Amino acid sequence: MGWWLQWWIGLFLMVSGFSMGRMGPAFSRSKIGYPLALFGLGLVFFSTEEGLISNEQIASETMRQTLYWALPGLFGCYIVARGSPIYNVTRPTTLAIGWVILLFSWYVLLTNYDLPGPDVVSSAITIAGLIVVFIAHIFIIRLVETLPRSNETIPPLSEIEKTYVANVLNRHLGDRED
Amino acid sequence: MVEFLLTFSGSLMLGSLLVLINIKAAYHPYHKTIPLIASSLLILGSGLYLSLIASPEGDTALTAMRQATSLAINGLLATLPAVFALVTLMMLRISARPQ
Repeated sequence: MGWWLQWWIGLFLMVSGFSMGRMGPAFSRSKIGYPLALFGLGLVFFSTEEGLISNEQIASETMRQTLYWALPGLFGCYIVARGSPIYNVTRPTTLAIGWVILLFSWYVLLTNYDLPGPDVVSSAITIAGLIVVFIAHIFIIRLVETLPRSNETIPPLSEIEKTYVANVLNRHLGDRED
Repeated sequence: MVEFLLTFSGSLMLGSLLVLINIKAAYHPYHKTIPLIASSLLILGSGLYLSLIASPEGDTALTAMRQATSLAINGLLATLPAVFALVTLMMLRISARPQ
Protein backbone atom coordinates (compact mmCIF):
# COMPACT_ATOMS: atom_id res chain seq x y z
CA MET A 1 0.00 0.00 0.00
CA GLY A 2 1.35 3.41 -0.92
CA TRP A 3 1.50 6.26 1.58
CA TRP A 4 -0.80 8.23 -0.69
CA LEU A 5 -3.68 6.04 0.43
CA GLN A 6 -2.98 6.94 4.07
CA TRP A 7 -3.01 10.62 3.09
CA TRP A 8 -6.39 10.35 1.36
CA ILE A 9 -7.92 8.15 4.06
CA GLY A 10 -6.79 10.76 6.60
CA LEU A 11 -8.52 13.51 4.63
CA PHE A 12 -11.72 11.48 4.31
CA LEU A 13 -11.69 10.69 8.04
CA MET A 14 -11.28 14.40 8.82
CA VAL A 15 -14.37 15.26 6.76
CA SER A 16 -16.34 12.26 8.12
CA GLY A 17 -15.42 13.13 11.70
CA PHE A 18 -16.41 16.76 11.25
CA SER A 19 -19.73 15.70 9.69
CA MET A 20 -20.42 13.30 12.57
CA GLY A 21 -19.35 15.84 15.20
CA ARG A 22 -21.82 18.38 13.86
CA MET A 23 -24.73 15.97 14.43
CA GLY A 24 -26.81 16.52 17.53
CA PRO A 25 -26.49 14.55 20.79
CA ALA A 26 -29.38 12.31 19.69
CA PHE A 27 -26.92 10.53 17.41
CA SER A 28 -24.39 8.48 19.38
CA ARG A 29 -21.85 8.73 16.56
CA SER A 30 -21.55 12.48 17.23
CA LYS A 31 -19.41 11.56 20.25
CA ILE A 32 -16.72 9.95 18.11
CA GLY A 33 -16.88 12.67 15.43
CA TYR A 34 -14.16 15.07 16.55
CA PRO A 35 -11.79 12.34 17.84
CA LEU A 36 -12.15 10.69 14.42
CA ALA A 37 -11.37 14.01 12.70
CA LEU A 38 -8.27 14.39 14.90
CA PHE A 39 -7.18 10.86 14.02
CA GLY A 40 -7.59 11.73 10.32
CA LEU A 41 -5.57 14.89 10.85
CA GLY A 42 -2.83 12.78 12.47
CA LEU A 43 -2.81 10.38 9.51
CA VAL A 44 -2.43 13.32 7.12
CA PHE A 45 0.17 15.12 9.21
CA PHE A 46 2.38 12.08 9.79
CA SER A 47 2.18 10.59 6.30
CA THR A 48 5.46 10.61 4.42
CA GLU A 49 5.75 12.07 0.94
CA GLU A 50 6.80 8.69 -0.43
CA GLY A 51 4.32 7.64 -3.09
CA LEU A 52 2.59 11.02 -3.29
CA ILE A 53 2.40 12.51 -6.78
CA SER A 54 3.56 16.09 -7.39
CA ASN A 55 0.33 17.95 -6.62
CA GLU A 56 -0.33 15.78 -3.56
CA GLN A 57 3.14 16.60 -2.25
CA ILE A 58 2.45 20.34 -2.64
CA ALA A 59 -0.97 20.00 -0.98
CA SER A 60 0.51 17.91 1.85
CA GLU A 61 3.27 20.46 2.47
CA THR A 62 0.77 23.37 2.30
CA MET A 63 -1.46 21.57 4.77
CA ARG A 64 1.42 21.14 7.19
CA GLN A 65 2.38 24.81 6.85
CA THR A 66 -1.27 25.77 7.38
CA LEU A 67 -1.56 23.70 10.55
CA TYR A 68 1.37 25.54 12.14
CA TRP A 69 -0.58 28.81 12.19
CA ALA A 70 -4.18 27.54 11.98
CA LEU A 71 -4.03 25.47 15.19
CA PRO A 72 -2.83 28.35 17.44
CA GLY A 73 -5.18 30.61 15.48
CA LEU A 74 -8.23 28.45 16.22
CA PHE A 75 -7.20 28.10 19.86
CA GLY A 76 -6.66 31.86 20.12
CA CYS A 77 -10.11 32.54 18.64
CA TYR A 78 -11.65 30.16 21.17
CA ILE A 79 -9.90 31.91 24.07
CA VAL A 80 -10.83 35.37 22.74
CA ALA A 81 -14.47 34.28 22.40
CA ARG A 82 -14.38 33.00 26.01
CA GLY A 83 -12.89 36.24 27.29
CA SER A 84 -14.98 38.70 25.29
CA PRO A 85 -17.79 40.59 27.04
CA ILE A 86 -20.99 38.54 27.20
CA TYR A 87 -23.97 39.59 29.33
CA ASN A 88 -21.88 42.30 31.04
CA VAL A 89 -19.25 39.78 32.14
CA THR A 90 -15.72 40.44 30.84
CA ARG A 91 -12.62 38.36 31.48
CA PRO A 92 -9.79 40.75 30.57
CA THR A 93 -6.99 38.27 31.39
CA THR A 94 -8.53 35.53 29.21
CA LEU A 95 -9.13 38.08 26.46
CA ALA A 96 -5.51 39.27 26.59
CA ILE A 97 -4.16 35.68 26.52
CA GLY A 98 -6.42 34.93 23.55
CA TRP A 99 -5.11 37.94 21.64
CA VAL A 100 -1.50 37.02 22.39
CA ILE A 101 -2.10 33.53 20.92
CA LEU A 102 -3.95 35.04 17.95
CA LEU A 103 -1.14 37.51 17.26
CA PHE A 104 1.38 34.69 17.56
CA SER A 105 -0.48 32.71 14.89
CA TRP A 106 -0.46 35.81 12.64
CA TYR A 107 3.29 36.11 13.21
CA VAL A 108 3.78 32.46 12.17
CA LEU A 109 1.54 32.97 9.14
CA LEU A 110 3.25 36.15 7.94
CA THR A 111 6.76 34.78 8.37
CA ASN A 112 5.99 31.59 6.40
CA TYR A 113 3.47 32.74 3.81
CA ASP A 114 3.96 34.77 0.62
CA LEU A 115 1.19 37.30 0.16
CA PRO A 116 -0.38 37.30 -2.43
CA GLY A 117 1.08 34.23 -4.14
CA PRO A 118 0.40 32.70 -7.55
CA ASP A 119 -2.30 30.64 -5.89
CA VAL A 120 -4.83 33.48 -6.12
CA VAL A 121 -6.13 32.43 -9.56
CA SER A 122 -6.08 28.78 -8.55
CA SER A 123 -8.04 29.64 -5.37
CA ALA A 124 -10.58 31.65 -7.35
CA ILE A 125 -11.11 28.73 -9.75
CA THR A 126 -11.44 26.29 -6.84
CA ILE A 127 -14.03 28.51 -5.15
CA ALA A 128 -15.90 28.84 -8.48
CA GLY A 129 -15.99 25.05 -8.84
CA LEU A 130 -17.21 24.56 -5.28
CA ILE A 131 -19.91 27.20 -5.85
CA VAL A 132 -21.07 25.29 -8.95
CA VAL A 133 -21.35 22.10 -6.85
CA PHE A 134 -23.11 24.04 -4.08
CA ILE A 135 -25.67 25.59 -6.45
CA ALA A 136 -26.33 22.22 -8.11
CA HIS A 137 -27.01 20.65 -4.72
CA ILE A 138 -29.21 23.50 -3.53
CA PHE A 139 -31.24 23.02 -6.70
CA ILE A 140 -31.52 19.25 -6.10
CA ILE A 141 -32.49 19.74 -2.43
CA ARG A 142 -35.20 22.23 -3.41
CA LEU A 143 -36.48 19.79 -6.00
CA VAL A 144 -36.53 16.91 -3.51
CA GLU A 145 -38.27 19.00 -0.86
CA THR A 146 -41.07 19.92 -3.30
CA LEU A 147 -41.79 16.25 -4.04
CA PRO A 148 -44.90 14.88 -2.30
CA ARG A 149 -44.20 13.35 1.10
CA SER A 150 -44.83 9.69 1.72
CA ASN A 151 -47.75 8.65 3.93
CA GLU A 152 -45.43 6.70 6.18
CA THR A 153 -46.28 7.23 9.87
CA ILE A 154 -43.38 8.32 12.04
CA PRO A 155 -43.10 6.00 15.08
CA PRO A 156 -43.58 7.59 18.52
CA LEU A 157 -40.62 8.28 20.84
CA SER A 158 -39.19 5.27 22.63
CA GLU A 159 -39.00 5.22 26.45
CA ILE A 160 -35.27 6.10 26.35
CA GLU A 161 -35.96 9.05 24.02
CA LYS A 162 -38.84 10.24 26.23
CA THR A 163 -36.62 10.14 29.32
CA TYR A 164 -33.89 12.00 27.45
CA VAL A 165 -36.25 14.76 26.25
CA ALA A 166 -37.77 15.07 29.76
CA ASN A 167 -34.27 15.38 31.25
CA VAL A 168 -33.24 18.07 28.77
CA LEU A 169 -36.45 20.05 29.41
CA ASN A 170 -36.07 19.71 33.19
CA ARG A 171 -32.46 20.81 33.02
CA HIS A 172 -33.32 23.95 31.04
CA LEU A 173 -36.73 24.85 32.39
CA GLY A 174 -36.73 23.23 35.84
CA ASP A 175 -35.31 26.28 37.62
CA ARG A 176 -37.83 28.69 36.12
CA GLU A 177 -40.48 29.74 38.55
CA ASP A 178 -43.05 30.88 35.96
CA MET B 1 -4.86 26.87 -19.23
CA VAL B 2 -4.50 23.12 -18.68
CA GLU B 3 -3.75 23.69 -14.99
CA PHE B 4 -6.85 25.89 -14.62
CA LEU B 5 -9.01 23.18 -16.21
CA LEU B 6 -7.39 20.61 -13.93
CA THR B 7 -8.07 22.83 -10.89
CA PHE B 8 -11.70 23.38 -11.90
CA SER B 9 -12.27 19.67 -12.48
CA GLY B 10 -10.58 18.98 -9.15
CA SER B 11 -12.86 21.39 -7.35
CA LEU B 12 -15.92 19.71 -8.90
CA MET B 13 -14.67 16.34 -7.70
CA LEU B 14 -13.68 17.70 -4.29
CA GLY B 15 -17.11 19.28 -3.77
CA SER B 16 -18.90 16.07 -4.79
CA LEU B 17 -16.68 13.95 -2.56
CA LEU B 18 -17.35 16.28 0.38
CA VAL B 19 -21.10 15.93 -0.19
CA LEU B 20 -20.89 12.13 -0.55
CA ILE B 21 -18.81 11.74 2.62
CA ASN B 22 -21.15 14.04 4.52
CA ILE B 23 -24.21 12.06 3.35
CA LYS B 24 -22.62 8.81 4.50
CA ALA B 25 -21.27 10.13 7.82
CA ALA B 26 -24.30 12.20 8.83
CA TYR B 27 -26.95 9.79 7.55
CA HIS B 28 -30.24 9.57 9.42
CA PRO B 29 -33.46 7.75 8.50
CA TYR B 30 -35.30 10.89 7.34
CA HIS B 31 -32.66 11.88 4.79
CA LYS B 32 -33.71 11.69 1.15
CA THR B 33 -30.26 10.78 -0.05
CA ILE B 34 -30.74 9.14 -3.44
CA PRO B 35 -31.16 12.35 -5.53
CA LEU B 36 -28.17 13.94 -3.78
CA ILE B 37 -26.02 10.85 -4.29
CA ALA B 38 -27.04 10.72 -7.96
CA SER B 39 -26.23 14.41 -8.56
CA SER B 40 -22.92 14.10 -6.70
CA LEU B 41 -21.91 11.08 -8.78
CA LEU B 42 -22.90 12.97 -11.94
CA ILE B 43 -20.76 15.98 -10.99
CA LEU B 44 -17.94 13.65 -9.88
CA GLY B 45 -18.10 11.93 -13.29
CA SER B 46 -18.03 15.28 -15.11
CA GLY B 47 -15.04 16.38 -13.05
CA LEU B 48 -13.25 13.11 -13.76
CA TYR B 49 -13.92 13.46 -17.48
CA LEU B 50 -12.56 17.04 -17.49
CA SER B 51 -9.50 15.97 -15.51
CA LEU B 52 -8.81 13.16 -17.98
CA ILE B 53 -8.96 15.69 -20.84
CA ALA B 54 -6.58 18.03 -19.02
CA SER B 55 -4.14 15.35 -17.84
CA PRO B 56 -1.14 14.23 -19.87
CA GLU B 57 -1.77 11.27 -22.13
CA GLY B 58 -1.17 7.95 -20.43
CA ASP B 59 -2.42 9.04 -17.01
CA THR B 60 -4.93 6.64 -15.49
CA ALA B 61 -8.29 7.90 -14.24
CA LEU B 62 -7.10 7.48 -10.65
CA THR B 63 -3.92 9.50 -11.24
CA ALA B 64 -5.87 12.23 -13.04
CA MET B 65 -8.35 12.35 -10.17
CA ARG B 66 -5.58 12.53 -7.55
CA GLN B 67 -3.71 15.26 -9.43
CA ALA B 68 -6.80 17.39 -9.99
CA THR B 69 -8.31 16.98 -6.52
CA SER B 70 -5.04 17.72 -4.72
CA LEU B 71 -4.66 20.83 -6.88
CA ALA B 72 -8.11 21.94 -5.71
CA ILE B 73 -7.21 21.18 -2.08
CA ASN B 74 -4.15 23.36 -2.52
CA GLY B 75 -6.31 26.15 -3.96
CA LEU B 76 -8.71 25.85 -1.06
CA LEU B 77 -5.90 25.95 1.50
CA ALA B 78 -4.57 29.11 -0.13
CA THR B 79 -7.84 30.89 0.72
CA LEU B 80 -7.49 30.15 4.44
CA PRO B 81 -5.33 33.21 5.31
CA ALA B 82 -8.09 35.44 3.90
CA VAL B 83 -10.68 33.52 5.92
CA PHE B 84 -8.48 33.86 9.00
CA ALA B 85 -8.23 37.62 8.41
CA LEU B 86 -12.04 37.84 8.39
CA VAL B 87 -12.29 35.74 11.56
CA THR B 88 -9.71 37.97 13.25
CA LEU B 89 -11.79 41.03 12.36
CA MET B 90 -14.83 39.33 13.90
CA MET B 91 -12.80 38.60 17.04
CA LEU B 92 -11.77 42.25 17.17
CA ARG B 93 -15.41 43.24 16.91
CA ILE B 94 -16.60 40.95 19.72
CA SER B 95 -13.66 41.98 21.91
CA ALA B 96 -14.55 45.66 21.60
CA ARG B 97 -18.28 45.05 22.03
CA PRO B 98 -19.82 47.71 24.33
CA GLN B 99 -21.17 46.30 27.58
